[in-house]
Amino acid sequence: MSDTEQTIIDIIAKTCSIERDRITLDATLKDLDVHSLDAVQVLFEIEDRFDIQVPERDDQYSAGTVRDLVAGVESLVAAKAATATT
Amino acid sequence: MQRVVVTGMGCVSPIGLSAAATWQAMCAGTPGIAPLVGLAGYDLRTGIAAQLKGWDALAHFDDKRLVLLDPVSQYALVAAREAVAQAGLRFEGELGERTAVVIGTGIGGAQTQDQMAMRLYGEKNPRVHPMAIVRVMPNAPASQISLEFGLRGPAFAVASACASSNHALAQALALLRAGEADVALAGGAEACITVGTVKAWEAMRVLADDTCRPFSRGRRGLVLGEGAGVFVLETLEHARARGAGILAELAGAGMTADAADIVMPDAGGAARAMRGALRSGGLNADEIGYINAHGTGTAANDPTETKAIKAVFGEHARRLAVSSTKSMHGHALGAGGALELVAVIGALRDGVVPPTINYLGPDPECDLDVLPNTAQQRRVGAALSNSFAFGGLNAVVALRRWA
Repeated sequence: MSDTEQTIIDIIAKTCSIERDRITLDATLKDLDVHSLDAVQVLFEIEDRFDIQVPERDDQYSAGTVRDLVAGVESLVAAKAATATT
Repeated sequence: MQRVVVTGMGCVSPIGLSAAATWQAMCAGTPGIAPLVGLAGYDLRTGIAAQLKGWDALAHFDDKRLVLLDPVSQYALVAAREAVAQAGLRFEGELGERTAVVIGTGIGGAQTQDQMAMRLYGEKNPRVHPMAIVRVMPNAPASQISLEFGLRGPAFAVASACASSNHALAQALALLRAGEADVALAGGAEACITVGTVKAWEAMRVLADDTCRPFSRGRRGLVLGEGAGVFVLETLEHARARGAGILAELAGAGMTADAADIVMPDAGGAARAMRGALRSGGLNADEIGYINAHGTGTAANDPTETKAIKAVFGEHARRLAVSSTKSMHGHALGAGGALELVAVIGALRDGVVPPTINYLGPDPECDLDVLPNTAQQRRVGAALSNSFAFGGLNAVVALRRWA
């Protein structure tokens, strides 16, 4: 499991008080009973940890699976690194 | 029990700097949402808000007075002046002691708070303005109105976020009914468009990035607004004794709490508040012709409110006009119900129901007659105004046409 995956799963577990073992990459936040207010807090923690800005409305982040969320964050981090180096 | 009537109204809103101008703008379906101005340089995601247009504080207050007034109090005072002038009241002698002031606000002196934080933490400037406390306190609008007009009866602020105005009107109604006062100045004020407040709303991800489209398909959230509305309420006996012009009857109010979730609305709590307002006003559901909805334009509020209206009104829900004027003046939080009372009183008096603008098309979950985009002429005998706050606090007022 990559560092990004670990970190995001840790954030979901802590923010939503869910046992870490239940959070698989294939689970959606809905499967995990994460309500909208908790989802917003998960996005906040992710933004803060990775120093990125998650788009306002993109279902990849709140409606998709944990894997989708990780992929989204990785692309945002990569985009940020690309801008930083150019 | 005393009946209570409205004999004056005043308002400053993003679509007009008086109640008269605001009502005309509502009938015309005027958009008050525009590009956000005045907060450049703070990396806000939000590009739009419903801000006052052409507000000039110095046109209303001299420098010495302004030092004491956060914008939230400025707006409240200007609205109160218009309402008192319309009511034609002078508060000399005993009437001052028999007049109450109840003003709702969700936040209070938000701009003062924001500037204070900026100096202390941003600029590392250890000095805070000596009038910061009197500007920031949530009771400042009520106190300033009391001071300006010499009102020495019960005076206080009411805070229930987006339901503050309606809770304030309900408290004033209760005071007048109970004989604790003969006259009350009641309403709400908010001046919340500051960096801190906008950032905090952004973080909840409930702000629309295009505009506010209540009950419409494609709606994307709420848009912050600001302003104030203040109303002169009197016992019918007092108004009649002085031959006052009566705008409408404040017939009743219903207040409930959901005790369910800190932010998600609850149809049951909303429905109980509407039923409470009807009961308090001695009104049958089928007497209501118009509901000024809470109608925030969020994914959660609008279907829940639709469900609640159907639960209360049954078949009659289909015949009701339901509109959200937040589509025009935005969500003024603690001032919301007060701005919206201008719409309700206007509808009762003029037989014109203001529209829900920015409407793109029906959402099956919001299938009431929401008066898309254009005002309609309808004779309205009685109306409700809904406000449902974060924290699960609901307040609904009921008004009757004064023929």
